[in-house]
Amino acid sequence: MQTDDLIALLATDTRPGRAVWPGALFAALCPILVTGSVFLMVLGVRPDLTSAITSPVTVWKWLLPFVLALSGMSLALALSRPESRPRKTWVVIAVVATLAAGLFATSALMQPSAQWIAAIEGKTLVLCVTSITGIGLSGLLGGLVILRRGATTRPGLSGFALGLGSGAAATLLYAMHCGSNEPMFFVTWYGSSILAVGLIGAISGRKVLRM
Amino acid sequence: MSENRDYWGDLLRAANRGDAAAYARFLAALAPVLRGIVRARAGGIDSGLREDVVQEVLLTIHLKRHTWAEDRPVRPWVYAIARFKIIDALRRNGRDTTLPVDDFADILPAEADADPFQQRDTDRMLDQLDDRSRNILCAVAYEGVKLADLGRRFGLSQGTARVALHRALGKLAALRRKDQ
Repeated sequence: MQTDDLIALLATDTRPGRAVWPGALFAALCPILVTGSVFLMVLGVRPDLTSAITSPVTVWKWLLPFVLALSGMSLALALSRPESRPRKTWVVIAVVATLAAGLFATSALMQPSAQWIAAIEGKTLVLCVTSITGIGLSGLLGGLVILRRGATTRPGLSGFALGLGSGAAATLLYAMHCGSNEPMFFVTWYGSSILAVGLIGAISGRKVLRM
Repeated sequence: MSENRDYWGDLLRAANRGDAAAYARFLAALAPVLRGIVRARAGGIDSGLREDVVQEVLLTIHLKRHTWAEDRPVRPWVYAIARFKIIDALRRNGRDTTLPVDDFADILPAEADADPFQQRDTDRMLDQLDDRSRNILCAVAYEGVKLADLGRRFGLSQGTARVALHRALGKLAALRRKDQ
């Protein structure tokens, strides 16, 4: 086919492509809300939820994932435009990571080092990691389907951002069940789980988000 | 004309409002620029192959044109897609055609005009499409069938024909991605 014929062919196709925003956000958040709600209905909400959400230490269990969910999702949406360079959102994510590390370090300094291993291990490690990863993956999958409409020039990074956002949104819901008040525990395992969803997002993004 | 700062933007804005002629002019203005970029990046590969890359970029820009926001400059958007696709296509083609540029140093000037002749890739991909998609694309590209007549020709409503054409182009792009 000659290029002129191709141009005539393309100009005949007047059907516009479908937008990424806001579909991708709904496609990511709806599965998380559904799987997360089912999870909470089965395993229950922690009884002291209201006091935990207002306590200066445990409030971070929601505050940090909330900001990370927002920034991860908006980063993934921004990257679906090929020319965008969303540096500011990366700064926000770096601030979240720094605050999490600070929270971990503060808690470590406030207790004898002999307790550190036990503090990190906690009692619900396996449930924590599998739940956050599982709920987060449902959002990653939904979001990826719609994000394919976009035109990212960084498919791995787009998938990573969507994974971080989905993992963080899943953490918001999981934290309503999880009774741990120990930052060394929740920073480590919430963080690892979110990162795991992010990495799975990066790997699948490289495969499915290529233009 | 293409030096005019927002000439491309004006055309694409008109295209978004349904002006197919403006859209064809936009793509036609784009093609030589893309050809130049591809030649600068890969002067060593044969001009037919280079034209294949140009076509692949045009197809991608077409399928992703909704990702351009009208309030943003159009050139950075075009170049971002072009750069990504050209590097991608050359890397894939590079596997089959690892020919050092030095060997062609003497013949390079002769291929200054990369005038489009029959291109291999697009036709090879057309052969792999399902019958209906291929027939629709060939009718429009080779016989100049208009969208209004496309439905009648294939026994579809006009809306269905429009969707079928769009899907067929999407399938064509997917085949190119998978291939090579």
